[in-house]
Amino acid sequence: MDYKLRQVTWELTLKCNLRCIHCGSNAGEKRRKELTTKEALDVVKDLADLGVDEICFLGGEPFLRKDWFEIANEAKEFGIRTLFISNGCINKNVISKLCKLEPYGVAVSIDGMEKVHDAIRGRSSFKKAISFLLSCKDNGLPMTIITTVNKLNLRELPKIKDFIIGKNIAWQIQIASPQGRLSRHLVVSEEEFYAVGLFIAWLRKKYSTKELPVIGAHCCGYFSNYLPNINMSYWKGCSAGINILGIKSNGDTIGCLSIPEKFIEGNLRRKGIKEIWNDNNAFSYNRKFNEEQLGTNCKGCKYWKKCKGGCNGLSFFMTNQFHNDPYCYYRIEKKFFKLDKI
Amino acid sequence: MRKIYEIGKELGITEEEIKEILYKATNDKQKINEPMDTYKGGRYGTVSIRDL
Repeated sequence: MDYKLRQVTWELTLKCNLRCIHCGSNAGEKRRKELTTKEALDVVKDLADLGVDEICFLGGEPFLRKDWFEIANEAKEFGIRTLFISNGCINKNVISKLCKLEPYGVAVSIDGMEKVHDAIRGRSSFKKAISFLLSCKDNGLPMTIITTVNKLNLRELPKIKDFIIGKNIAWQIQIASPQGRLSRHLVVSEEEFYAVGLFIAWLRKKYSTKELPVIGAHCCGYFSNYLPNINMSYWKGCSAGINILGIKSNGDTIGCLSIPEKFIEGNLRRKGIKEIWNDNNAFSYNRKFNEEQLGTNCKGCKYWKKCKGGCNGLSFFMTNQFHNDPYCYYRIEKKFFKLDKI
Repeated sequence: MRKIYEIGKELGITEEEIKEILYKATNDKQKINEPMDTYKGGRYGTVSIRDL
């Protein structure tokens, strides 16, 4: 079977000027032997040859890489859509360059209002991030706020909602996974996870998309007897190696940046990206998925063929195996719900 | 269930609103997973305001 690579998430550098307590990448110092400018430009060309639709550049903090514009502009020249995720604590000089790129989207992480955001991300980071976000917005860039929910900021969601309403800024809510720097005790409980889904469903019922364009990220799923879909598209199982790919700043290539490094398929200095993508034995956890691979959380579920066990990143870091994501509305409903007793 | 209810209220959702979301779905046999847009393929990383 042929797989069409549509989207790439590319960690431009692991270097970061913040040390967020929930950072899944454990970002801070740059990786040893990050790709050179020439190597990165060659990768862009290979991605264009593969017909990639879009690249989401992230980090670390992607704008700390000096050649970020050159790399992203090369993607633009090849007709590839670009998106960025930043912590927003960055010199505003990047905004004029961003405007030249005409990116499809620019996201800034906001994890609460000032006190909580700064507790998670570091002193003064809230004011800087908001200032960057609003300056980008004033310059006509298409902006998104990403909120990564853990136990420390769950109850900040209503305040963030009040801030975003009417600003024409998208809001992506996602669940923090116990990887990198995030301690397991800060991961939301099943009930809290469900309440986040309920919150998003409520917002989408109460406000028009124009007033409050909010979605749950792919980890907010997957099927439900009660909640309407809160994602952007149908969930068809983890897309790692099916139509998405992650590239680390040192050239290591993996189905998704949120799964463990032992699933790295190869390094771009030793193996071309086309060779990696077209290898029949690559990404076997998804490309050769079958019912036998389901974990106990998902075995016997009527949605298993469509769902394939949810987000493999969350699944692995919560249960040490793929296709076994405990953060599933349908599973939680079966476990907790007796609607007649509401 | 009760706990979900209580967290929902802490997030600003009234009891009536929670009931409406949950009961309406049950009684109306609301379709599951209505997609928001037609982008073919999961978008990882970030959504764009242009998608919504």
